[in-house]
Amino acid sequence: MSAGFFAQYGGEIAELTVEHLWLTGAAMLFATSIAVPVGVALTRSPHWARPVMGVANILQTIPSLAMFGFLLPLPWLGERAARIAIVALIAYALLPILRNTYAGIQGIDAAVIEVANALGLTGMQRLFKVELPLAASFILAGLRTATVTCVGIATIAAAVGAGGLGELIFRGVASVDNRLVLAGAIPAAALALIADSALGLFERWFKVRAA
Amino acid sequence: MSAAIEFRDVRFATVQGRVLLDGISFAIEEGSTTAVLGRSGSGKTTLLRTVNRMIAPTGGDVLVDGRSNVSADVIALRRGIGYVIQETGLFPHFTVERNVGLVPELLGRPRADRAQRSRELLQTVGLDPAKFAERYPNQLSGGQRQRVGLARALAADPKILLMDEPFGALDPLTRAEMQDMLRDLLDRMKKTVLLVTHDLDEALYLADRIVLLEEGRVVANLGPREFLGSIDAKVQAYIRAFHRGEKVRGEQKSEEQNGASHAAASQP
Repeated sequence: MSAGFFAQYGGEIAELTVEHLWLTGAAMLFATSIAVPVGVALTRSPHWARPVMGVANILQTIPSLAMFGFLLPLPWLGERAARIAIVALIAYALLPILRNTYAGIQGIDAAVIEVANALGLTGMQRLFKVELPLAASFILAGLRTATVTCVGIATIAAAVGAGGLGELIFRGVASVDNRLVLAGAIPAAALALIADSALGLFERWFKVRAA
Repeated sequence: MSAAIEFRDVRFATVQGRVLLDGISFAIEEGSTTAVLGRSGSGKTTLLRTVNRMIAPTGGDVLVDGRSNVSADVIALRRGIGYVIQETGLFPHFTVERNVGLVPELLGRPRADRAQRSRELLQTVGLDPAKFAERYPNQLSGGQRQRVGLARALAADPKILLMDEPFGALDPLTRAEMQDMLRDLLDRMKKTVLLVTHDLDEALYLADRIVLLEEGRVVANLGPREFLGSIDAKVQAYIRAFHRGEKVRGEQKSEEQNGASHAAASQP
């Protein structure tokens, strides 16, 4: 790729990267604030775990283009492409976070929970002092999976006009310009790799403390 | 002396209808140690867990300090009762010091007080604070973990200590050390202790009273000497079964050791 190419598209690549990050970040924020509390709630009433996880699993299984298609005709949502994109990304991010929050807390040594109760920790104290810290590396692993998935799916959001790096890819494909395709694909892949290793670092940090 | 713990016709049945406690009545004097003996499934752990309401009896009443614990605030009740279990249940993400100081932390004691209290207690259970306070549970041996568990149970200076097979997972030498340490500690501290064990020798060594449970019923409630000399058929059967079990375990162990030495000898 020549200097001329960057001179022409550099600004746009940066802009679309920021947009991509914004879509993914917003979706992750919403998904986390939904899935972590729901995951915790499921540990309190495990008989709901199967049906709730089942719904999240179905959402996860829907092909991403189809998901955007389903959301397009909805009122309010359909008016803005970014809304559709964020809601779809949330739907994909739910399952990994939910599953790992639930499994992380359920997997805590029963004796630890027993003693936490017997020492007179209230439910909230048990959650914040014992369960969440001990499940943290699990929950972060879920966040990592969800983030990488979302960075990937966000490229497809360009198909409904939500922007992001996918836009360069789609435009490149349409105009048979490989440079344009790569200008979208390389930063998107880099974002995914960076998110993966950064969150992986966090995850390990929490794991060491909990060992 | 008054009763620190009193069981009044305590009953417990599971949702499926299995009866685990079938009308248990006895009292534990303040400052005394009572061992509840029994085979697996006799209901001894269930009984212990009714005291701090980890289990709510389906009938009868448990009195702690003369008051029914049904109406008690369960959080306050539990914070006032020490609890030690075989698996220790130390918090793996806390240092030894924070594990020990957790109940004082919950009670809102200042950090400096907590740290000092933790260190005193570590000393009490025979661990050098300078060496152990900053360690994490995974850096301790089984015996050391159990000592930390005991220190944690004592942190809020509870009058009552519940101990469920506290030394059950330890090797015989460590177990004997722990029993010595506990006996010495109880002599000084005058706690009311409810100790659940299947180990007759442990009960004889540590307890002022021995309660034998069988299928959720009290079949004997005697001092250690009376227990050993009892002509009650069920008590005698338990003593015989215990010694037979010890013998079998001893033989298995020496066979294992022989096997191990053979294996070692056959290695080039």
